[in-house]
Amino acid sequence: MQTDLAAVGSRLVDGMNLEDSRPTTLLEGDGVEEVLSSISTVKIEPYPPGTISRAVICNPVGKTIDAPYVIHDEAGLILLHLCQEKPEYLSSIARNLSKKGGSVRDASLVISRSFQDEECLDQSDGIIIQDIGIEGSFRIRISSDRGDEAPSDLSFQYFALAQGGLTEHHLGGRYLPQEIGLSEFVKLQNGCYPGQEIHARLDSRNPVTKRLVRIRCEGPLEKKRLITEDGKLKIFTPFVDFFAHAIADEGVVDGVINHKGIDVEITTIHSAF
Amino acid sequence: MGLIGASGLGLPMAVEVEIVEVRIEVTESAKLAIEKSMSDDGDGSVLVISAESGGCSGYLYDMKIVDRPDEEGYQSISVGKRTIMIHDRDSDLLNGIVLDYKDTLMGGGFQITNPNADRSCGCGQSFG
Repeated sequence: MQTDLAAVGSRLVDGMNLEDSRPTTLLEGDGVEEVLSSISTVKIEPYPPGTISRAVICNPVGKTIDAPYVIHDEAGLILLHLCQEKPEYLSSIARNLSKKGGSVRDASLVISRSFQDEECLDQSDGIIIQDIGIEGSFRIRISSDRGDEAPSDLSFQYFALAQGGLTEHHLGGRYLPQEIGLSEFVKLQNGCYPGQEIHARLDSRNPVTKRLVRIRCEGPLEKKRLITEDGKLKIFTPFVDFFAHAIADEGVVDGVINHKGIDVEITTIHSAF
Repeated sequence: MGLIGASGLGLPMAVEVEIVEVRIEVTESAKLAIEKSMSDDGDGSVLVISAESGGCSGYLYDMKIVDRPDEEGYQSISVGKRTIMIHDRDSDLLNGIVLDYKDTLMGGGFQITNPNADRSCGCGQSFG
């Protein structure tokens, strides 16, 4: 039976309020931006409260560990981690901050974050990260209250795979930031950070041309590596309701390809959330 | 009013830094180099060795000759007539290091061998 893909899409925008339960931490103390910048691929500037930045943290071989949204708050920097567990790099930050009386605190209990669509947008206080998702039709709401909206029963995995979100499959030091939709956050001008040597070498000698794509496929694929006329696709996440993510060679173009009688739709994820 | 505001200080710590009693080894060549480097400094000056976040491997060594810090939280190690100080927050990372000095034209200067490091940068200034 053919699945109505329009219906799949409509399930996503049907009053969605999907809670994101990944860890949240508060960095407080003098020079928090400088300390975070020292391990991030991009410099974190001291912006006014309410501003949103993004950090990308890599291991020494340049593979991505975390890509937290950074909320500039009066109390310090609030990190919305994308990894499932509290990341180890926090100990390096805590060490530096604590020398000047600062600390790294667990803010998970006082900060709520959820993915919402336009229909469900809560108008109460909070900070909104706009236009996320492949079509830019979703938002992240960050608040210090729990909100009144009923939580969605949509799974995080499904939403992330359908809309271009990063999951545990993307992180954990497996892929370069450029391979998982985070190219815009790799700034070699930030100076020395873990992984910078690798990024600099790639940038000057062998720029990363692979990119993150969403695969939509209704049939069973036999292999995790697909070879098309134009290049290869490496599928590295499980399929959840027909969606999975893959890393595509430069030559692979967006659109529908037929792989052994099965239609596979490929869509580039330009900016992963 | 921010998302967290002043209530941030009431939140539980996400990370606790371990504090240990620091023991370090200083080679004879390093002792001589410390004496030479600090020859113009008064008795109130100390050499502070620290580990800062950053560098290509996660942490960067830093060495500074400064006036003896007033604040608490430092451990002192006597090296001849001079004092090396290490912050409690760096104690578990720097415990057991060997401080050496190499008098060579290229790659010379103070060198740190750290048994706590899983990896280190080619330049010797960063470890993780």
